[in-house]
Amino acid sequence: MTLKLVRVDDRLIHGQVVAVWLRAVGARRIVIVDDRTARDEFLRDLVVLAAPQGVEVEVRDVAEGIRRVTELAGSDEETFVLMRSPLVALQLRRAGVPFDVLNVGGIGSAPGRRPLYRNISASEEERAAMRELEGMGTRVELRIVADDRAVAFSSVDRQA
Amino acid sequence: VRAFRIVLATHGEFGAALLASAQLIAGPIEDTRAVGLEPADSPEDYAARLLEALGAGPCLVLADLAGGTPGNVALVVARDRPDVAVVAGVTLGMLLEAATGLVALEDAAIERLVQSGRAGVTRLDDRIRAGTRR
Repeated sequence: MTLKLVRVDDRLIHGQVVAVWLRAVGARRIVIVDDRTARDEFLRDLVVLAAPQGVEVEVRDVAEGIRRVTELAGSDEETFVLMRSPLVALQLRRAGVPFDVLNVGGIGSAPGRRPLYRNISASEEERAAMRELEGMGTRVELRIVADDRAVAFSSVDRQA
Repeated sequence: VRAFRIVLATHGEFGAALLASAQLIAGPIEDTRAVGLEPADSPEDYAARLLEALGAGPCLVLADLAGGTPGNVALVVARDRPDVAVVAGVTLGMLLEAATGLVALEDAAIERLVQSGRAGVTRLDDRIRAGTRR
């Protein structure tokens, strides 16, 4: 099992934050699973440009990401998986991608979302996805930077 | 007179404070706005505010960090805008230079701005101590 971190962050790669996580978990490869970025050459170039030096970055759409992350999970390559939304994490998990912990580090406010914990917001659909992940045995933890204490999603999940 | 707008794209209040400090030195600086990324912002929220600040016509975006969200989002917002330049690593010296020393957003002028920023970062105490020892 070499998926060092599976993380939701709607800012994807942003300099220091990603650099600190890579060091903390000891990964040298980032796989971004995001349809919009995978299908847009400009956005792809941008995330690669934003990555720390010496890190391999791959950008995959969800279908390809499921295949690739499953393959990496069974290899000895230490990998950091990054996506914008818990909905994508649920798609991966439903397709059999093995991860025991989902780190939720950044979901900004937007119409349809309400605050969940500190600066993390989530829509009803995103909350339902995180609940379903927990039901499947994946621990969903809210943790913005590596130095933070992990807070269980279930401990802050309240009905509207 | 300067023929372009300036937008400071930074994490939090850094840009607003930089602008306030620059105005202490240079007096009122026109057509310049700071757009700070706040912790609860989604990239889309931030993009909307940046887009509004860019307005129409030539604009120089001074971002704080290469690879950080403010600069990344600025690039996305400016992707179809050849009249928008994006530079990362803004310092007080660069803001002053951009606000008072540049006339138009030509490549050569932007390059001079970048060079002036680099030249402004220098160790001072070494020089003066070396000087007194000599």
